[in-house]
Amino acid sequence: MSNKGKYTNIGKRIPKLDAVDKATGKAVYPQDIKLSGMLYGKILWSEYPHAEILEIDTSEAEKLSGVKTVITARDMPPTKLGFAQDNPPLKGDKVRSLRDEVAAVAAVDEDTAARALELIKVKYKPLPPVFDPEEAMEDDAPQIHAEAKGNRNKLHYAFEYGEVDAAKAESDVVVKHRFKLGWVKHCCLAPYSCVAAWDGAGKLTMYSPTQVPFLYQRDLADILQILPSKIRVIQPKIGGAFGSKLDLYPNEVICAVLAKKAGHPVKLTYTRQEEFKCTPSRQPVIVDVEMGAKKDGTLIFRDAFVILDNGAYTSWGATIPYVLMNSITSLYRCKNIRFNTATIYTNNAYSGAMRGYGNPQGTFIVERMMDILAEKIGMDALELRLKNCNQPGEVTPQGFQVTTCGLRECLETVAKRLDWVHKRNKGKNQTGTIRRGVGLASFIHVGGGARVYRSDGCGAVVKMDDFGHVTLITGATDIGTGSETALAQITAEELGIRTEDVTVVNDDTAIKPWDVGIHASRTTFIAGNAARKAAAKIKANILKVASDLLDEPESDLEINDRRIFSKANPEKNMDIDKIIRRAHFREDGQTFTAEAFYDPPTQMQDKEYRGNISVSYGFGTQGAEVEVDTETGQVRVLKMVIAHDVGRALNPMLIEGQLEGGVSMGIGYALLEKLVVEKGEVKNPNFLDYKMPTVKDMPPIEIVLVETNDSAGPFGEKGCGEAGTIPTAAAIGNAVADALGFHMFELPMQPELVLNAIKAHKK
Amino acid sequence: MSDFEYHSPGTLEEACGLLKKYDGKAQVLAGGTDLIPDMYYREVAPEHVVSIKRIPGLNHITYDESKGLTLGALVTFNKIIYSEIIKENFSILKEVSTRIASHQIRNLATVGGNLCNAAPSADSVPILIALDSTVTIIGPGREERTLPLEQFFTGPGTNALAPGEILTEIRIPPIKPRTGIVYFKHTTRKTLEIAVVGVASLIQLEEKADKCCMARVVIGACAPTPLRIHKAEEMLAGKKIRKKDIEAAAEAASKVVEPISDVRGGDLYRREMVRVQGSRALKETLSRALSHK
Amino acid sequence: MKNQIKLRVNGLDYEVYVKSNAILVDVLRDELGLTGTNKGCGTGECGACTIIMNGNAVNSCLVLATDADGAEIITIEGLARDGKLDALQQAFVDEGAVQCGFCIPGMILVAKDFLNKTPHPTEEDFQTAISGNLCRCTGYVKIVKAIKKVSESE
Repeated sequence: MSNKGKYTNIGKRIPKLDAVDKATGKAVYPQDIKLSGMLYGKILWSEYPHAEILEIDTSEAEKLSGVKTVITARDMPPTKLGFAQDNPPLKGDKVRSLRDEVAAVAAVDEDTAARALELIKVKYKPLPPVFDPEEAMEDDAPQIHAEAKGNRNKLHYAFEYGEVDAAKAESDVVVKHRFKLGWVKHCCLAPYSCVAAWDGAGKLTMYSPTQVPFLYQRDLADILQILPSKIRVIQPKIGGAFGSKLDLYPNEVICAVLAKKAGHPVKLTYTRQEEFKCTPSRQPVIVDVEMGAKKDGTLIFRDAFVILDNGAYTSWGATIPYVLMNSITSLYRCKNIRFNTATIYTNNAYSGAMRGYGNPQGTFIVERMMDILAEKIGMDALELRLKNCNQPGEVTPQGFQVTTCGLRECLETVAKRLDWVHKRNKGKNQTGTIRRGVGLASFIHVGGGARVYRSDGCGAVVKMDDFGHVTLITGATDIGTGSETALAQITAEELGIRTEDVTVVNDDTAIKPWDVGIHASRTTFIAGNAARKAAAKIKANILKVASDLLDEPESDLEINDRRIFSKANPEKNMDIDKIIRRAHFREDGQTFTAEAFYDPPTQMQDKEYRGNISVSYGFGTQGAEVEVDTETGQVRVLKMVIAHDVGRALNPMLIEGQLEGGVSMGIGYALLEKLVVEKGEVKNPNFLDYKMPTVKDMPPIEIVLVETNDSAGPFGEKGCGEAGTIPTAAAIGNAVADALGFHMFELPMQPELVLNAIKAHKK
Repeated sequence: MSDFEYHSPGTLEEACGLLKKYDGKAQVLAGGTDLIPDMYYREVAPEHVVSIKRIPGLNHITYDESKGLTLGALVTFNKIIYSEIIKENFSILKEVSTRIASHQIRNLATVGGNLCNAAPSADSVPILIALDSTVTIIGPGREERTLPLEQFFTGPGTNALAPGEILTEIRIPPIKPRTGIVYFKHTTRKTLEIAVVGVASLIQLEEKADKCCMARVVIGACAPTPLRIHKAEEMLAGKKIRKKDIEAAAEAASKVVEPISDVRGGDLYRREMVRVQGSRALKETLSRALSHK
Repeated sequence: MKNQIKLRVNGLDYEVYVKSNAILVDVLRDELGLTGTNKGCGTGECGACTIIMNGNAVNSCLVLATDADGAEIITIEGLARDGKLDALQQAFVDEGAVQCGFCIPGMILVAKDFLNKTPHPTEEDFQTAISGNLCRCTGYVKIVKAIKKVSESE
């Protein structure tokens, strides 16, 4: 790290501000909330993956002692959820998946609510279901939504750059494959929970783990058909999000309506099985991809067609091609690109946003194909990447203006630490049962915000009190990543005080300024710039007052460790809190509060998916060394080496935590995690059979933080919250191929799949 | 979870009486690590739960050089792991116990419960069968009987207890000299897993020669009950075991088992893993036998 | 029909009326208001609800409240004394082992019990200690580091 004593707070391994509360059991999560008269809500789920609802009889349930209210679609406003507006919170005429919400109950305790659900009688007329998106595309497939002919969701992405068809002819080497990546779950340790409370005058307070409180506020107002100003969103501590709370989902709307009808606050908490069955997953993709290159390794073309299983309703999963496209167009330099999608309704559960938002899928495809291309050309896979490496100052086919770019350094660092030269390409010479291999993969991801909405901004209010203590009120929530700590460090550094002098308030829409939401690794960058902007105003004000009090010109003053010094005459100094009090307690006194809103100088993409949506871009490379037991198919990751260009490491300890967590999620994606779904039913809705990595499944991880000091970010920072999980599966996939000497195109590479592939390859 | 009447008898007689009285409507609660999740998932809904935790005399680990090891039914897996007696004389049981579930579950889960729950994949069972264990059972009239553990399992989740009977003790004969014992648990993740395939193997060599005088091969998770593979044992006993004998025995075992396909593994894969892990287990077992005093 | 049970939790004696099917984790959280113990799965598969009962770390979701009658229980709220954090709590804070925090109380308590029972832990032991606890945020790296730090300083 390149601080060399320049900063007091930046670059320091400062513990997370709320770590003590969390380590002592004082943190309050939504499931911990207990309000006066609070009832417990539960949802009745569909019995069929596709059926007409003929009748719902709630009379017996309503009579059960302890039940306050039972609701069905008739109790809901007619509005629908999701940007495609195809998802009624409670289904009235039809169910389209097994996780469809049919009715809900509020009762004095969870047991009573569960018993009430059993008393609700629903008459269904089953309809033929369809679960495979390619089958659902066929003419004779069952129609899932009347307005979506051929089960096609209107959402469609098409991108063209250069001349792909001519480029195919120009290529010396062409490779073509189909990849299948399935459903994985967020596995937040806290099951989804929210609390709704109405006051007597029609104002609603939601205690929600939402990642987008202001968009949620507006969307919820739309759905409930009330004014947004009547909704207050309070965010308790969030027990894991990873993108799962980026949309407004039916359970939260149901919770609000239950509370309204019951006249009591209602808490609605999922069981772990509901968490597996009834929350959105990472978007599965089937990708047919073709790539070509010259003999000398110049990448000539990429042509990808993505089929998305949209599931029964539309949430953010349908929009992941927007980001998946980024790796196809902009990871390494390629001259001709074509990208197309088909988004198909099925009777499976729908998908949402999940860490990386399509980039893990896209990077897997691009980086596996890079290895396959290298092999066909007869070129070293690292050389191929270095030859086509992204560079600072370039503009990618989608119009991303790359400012800083440490990709070359990341590639070289990882290759060196992986001992690439000695360990790569040894698979074919190994004769034992255990084969070893190494592989690496890189990524490009937004690092300075992401203009995917009308505003990519965040507001900040900074207040310094009479004791020199600062409160930062920021629009940005902390979802466990540590961003609130980084924001405190930024604010403290700007003001010349210590991180411990800053309190961060970020959990109440009635208090905090607007922020679009926690996604796209944007928080520290955007909210950090906003905080810095506001803090700079306070600082200017302090220096002005100090200049009067110390009789020194403003330009000569600096603040260092809670004191204002004259650079020329250091014996002229005053403690910051004394200055505040002097300015406050006098005639025509003042206090020190300032606000700022930072909305980055970026563009929304046009209809052709071109536009510089981020101020800066993060890069990185991960490398894996693996061992494959060719008799059992078991893959063991011996070590991960990762190098990430983070601009500047504001808090290396917190960044490491994010990267380590991301790698563990990536290892799960590569080797272990598979939501097993048969005929629309989840067969492994528990932690025993859905294989999330345990501590023993983790290899040692070597981390190198590359600092390219991007001037746009607060103190040079670039976002990296998602980065840790983006290239992991690709690196491991490449390493396994290196060990085995052949390629696989599906994830996860569980032992049975690997062993079957080994046997098939032998034949 | 449905409601039930909770009983906490203080004696075995009382407990057996309750189980006989409420036969078909009652479940025994020992560690609770199987029963509570089953009730939570609505797989069972007993009207009566008979907690036997308070009953004295079921929590002992004793060892005698001639009689061997005795485990009370309520001995937890962590008690086994931390026991000096086990460490000195039956370390294989410590080894097996560490493969079970988690530290927290091992603080609750009892060896008696693991047997009575009779999951085909139960980790403690293959090794206990390989060690020729017997179980002691007490009935409502205070009558006591013993049964070879091999005969205790009657199907997936069912055991040989008659109405009103409780398993009280497991007895394991002393380990003879020149004996190697191994348990291999094949799983997807490295911990917190139910076995996809479990292999317990035992080889006892003659005192003066390296000839095998007794072999045991027991496979878990590949049949309705843990399965002792006599055919494999016959292929090893009476021989100076070579690599090809081991491979033949493992191959034989893979043909005898009747695995199912479920979310944890396919039947063909399980069969293959019986062969692969069986072979590896036997190699390790032989190696241990050769170095065992 | 509810039974009366007595629980000594963090040194304080409580009397509670519970139904037969009441589970200890729910009684601690809902009846006693001790919400520091978190519920992640209800079936002993995630470790988030770990408490120390009669000197043993157990999943409180696997214990019938009635079976816990007379037990001595330590929850996460009972570790800090006189405004000072327990060594494990402090290490978790200092080493960056806390992110969303939901798994943390369970991690700290099982580590406490495991270290108590394991006089000379090996590298592998630090992992074994938390093999029954899932974490989605940290990748376990700094959690193991914190446990090792405490073990080596004792």
